[in-house]
Amino acid sequence: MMNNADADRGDRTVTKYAAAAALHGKATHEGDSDLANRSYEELASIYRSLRERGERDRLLPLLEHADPAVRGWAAAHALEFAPERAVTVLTALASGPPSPERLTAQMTLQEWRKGKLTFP
Amino acid sequence: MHRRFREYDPATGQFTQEDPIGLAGGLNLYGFAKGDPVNFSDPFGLCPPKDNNVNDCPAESSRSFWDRLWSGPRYVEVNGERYPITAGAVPDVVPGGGVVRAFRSFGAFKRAMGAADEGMQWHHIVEQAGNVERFGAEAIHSARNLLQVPTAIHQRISAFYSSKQAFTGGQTVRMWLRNQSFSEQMQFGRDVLRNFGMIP
Repeated sequence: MMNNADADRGDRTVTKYAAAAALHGKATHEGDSDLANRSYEELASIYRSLRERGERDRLLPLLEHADPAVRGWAAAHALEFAPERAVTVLTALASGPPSPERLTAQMTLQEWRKGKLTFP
Repeated sequence: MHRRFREYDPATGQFTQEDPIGLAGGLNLYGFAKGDPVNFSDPFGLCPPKDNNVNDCPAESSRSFWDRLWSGPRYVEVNGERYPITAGAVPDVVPGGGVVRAFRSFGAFKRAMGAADEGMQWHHIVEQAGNVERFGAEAIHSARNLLQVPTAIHQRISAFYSSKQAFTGGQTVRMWLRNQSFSEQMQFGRDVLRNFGMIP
């Protein structure tokens, strides 16, 4: 059973994940690949730790986040454990206005449907 | 194949009429751009420029002469989409022929087509890195694969290729593309341009 300390830690983890996803999106828009790649590694690390603790569901609220980069990252990872909800979010992003987030959503869905998408 | 001033016979690689420039165009009055219609372009059948530099041609077949005469399209088509050619560049699409210029190096392309306009850079839709060896220089340094984009967008796209994204499995986009076919990379490159604001 999850105690208050566990819940607080989980909340902090999701907050860190959302911040890293938003930073990755900002870096991609601004053409800063070093920052994007540092953010990528942090996202991968957080996702691995959530999986190890059996807490991946904590990412699901981020599917409704205001930042499309955060929604896109949460959906890309959620394809592993909540594919129906993830596909809904990625399909919406993939049909949105032109943007790096739209391209990433299109390519993520394409790779997943081909069975080529890998998870951290 | 009809070219503005002469008829070109693809079977022989020769024109069927004498070069109107006469001896100024070289001793072979029926030659076509040094016999290599892929790597050299002579849209009006007037001059095979040395090193692809139209400024080496006689004055009457110079770039400005071509521009004054040219009333055809100023774009290249890639999979049905049109990409504009900068004003002043030698036309790539010849009347009725659809020949697109291709070069053995990026330097040769720039010598022939000119430097990018101020604030712009030449952009390879299918990247150079690793692909010249796979697909050949002529496929990469072709007017089909190069267009001018604003420097800021070019830099953002270059950074995107250096970044890791959700779909690349822990690799950079460039590494993820490495084993894909030319047509897959072309499609992806067009999608990138569209999503970074270059193609409406």
